[in-house]
Amino acid sequence: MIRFFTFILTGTLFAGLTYTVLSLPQQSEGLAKTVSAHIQNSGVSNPVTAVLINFRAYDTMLEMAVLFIALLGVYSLNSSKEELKPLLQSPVLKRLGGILVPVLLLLSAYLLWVGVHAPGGAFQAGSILSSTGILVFLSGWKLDLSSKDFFIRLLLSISLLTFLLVSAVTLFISHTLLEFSPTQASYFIFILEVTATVSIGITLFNLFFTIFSQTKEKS
Amino acid sequence: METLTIIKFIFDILLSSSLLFIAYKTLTCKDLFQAIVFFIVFGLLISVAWGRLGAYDVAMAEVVIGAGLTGALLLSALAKLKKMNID
Repeated sequence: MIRFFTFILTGTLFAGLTYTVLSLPQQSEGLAKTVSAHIQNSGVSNPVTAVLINFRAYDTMLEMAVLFIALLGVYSLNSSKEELKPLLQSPVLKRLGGILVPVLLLLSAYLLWVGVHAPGGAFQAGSILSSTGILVFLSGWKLDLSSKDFFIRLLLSISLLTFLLVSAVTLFISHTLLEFSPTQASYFIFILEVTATVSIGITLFNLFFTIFSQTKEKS
Repeated sequence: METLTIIKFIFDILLSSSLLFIAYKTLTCKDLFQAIVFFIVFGLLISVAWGRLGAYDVAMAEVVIGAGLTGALLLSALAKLKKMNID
């Protein structure tokens, strides 16, 4: 009976989505023209970065808040006893980690830098940073980035704090939230991107680390 | 030029059909570990699809977060689940 209802609901949803897609206008311009018209005022030359950090910076700020709250939720599930013993005792992984970690760190920095004028940016760089952390952790190296440390807590929240600070500054200067003047935009974007990379990297790593160290404790 | 278009077309057809197949396998798989591996493969394939659509930013984010980090998170959650069942 439940299967039948699920089937009906899924079928309705599918029909609705199909209708929506088919009823879309054939040739729509989108916002690409508007973005490219204003891109010289945005401080960067990559349209995606311009939209994410400049034109729609408010959305990105809320995204950082969501990420932060998600991590708080995972922390609340965590027990106080943590044991830092790597699960995988493989010499191959250890050796490979030694080769890959410098390359991955370099790649992360490159993606952050290239985001100004080509595909790349804070989210990609931050997630590569966190996967580097996971690789280091799984290879069996001591890497204590748990939230006990005040410095780690600061790094976790630094992006959100910077966003709030920048919003306050722009509100004070230009009376509009997160509106950068064309001359200062690139500095603001640089600060926001770097802090976002660090925060995203450490947050995503901690999401993994918290669950994994809990698993370890029971074994 | 003509052959390149045909090759691209065949590639797209293969890509989308394998996406549908992997999605089906992910949902219907009995073994959770297999389902996670299928999910990771699905993430990799869908990032190729994003690349074909020209959205390289999304493709990169999908590779790292969708395939890599989510896969690792799901695997550690599975390990935790198994521990809880045994206990």
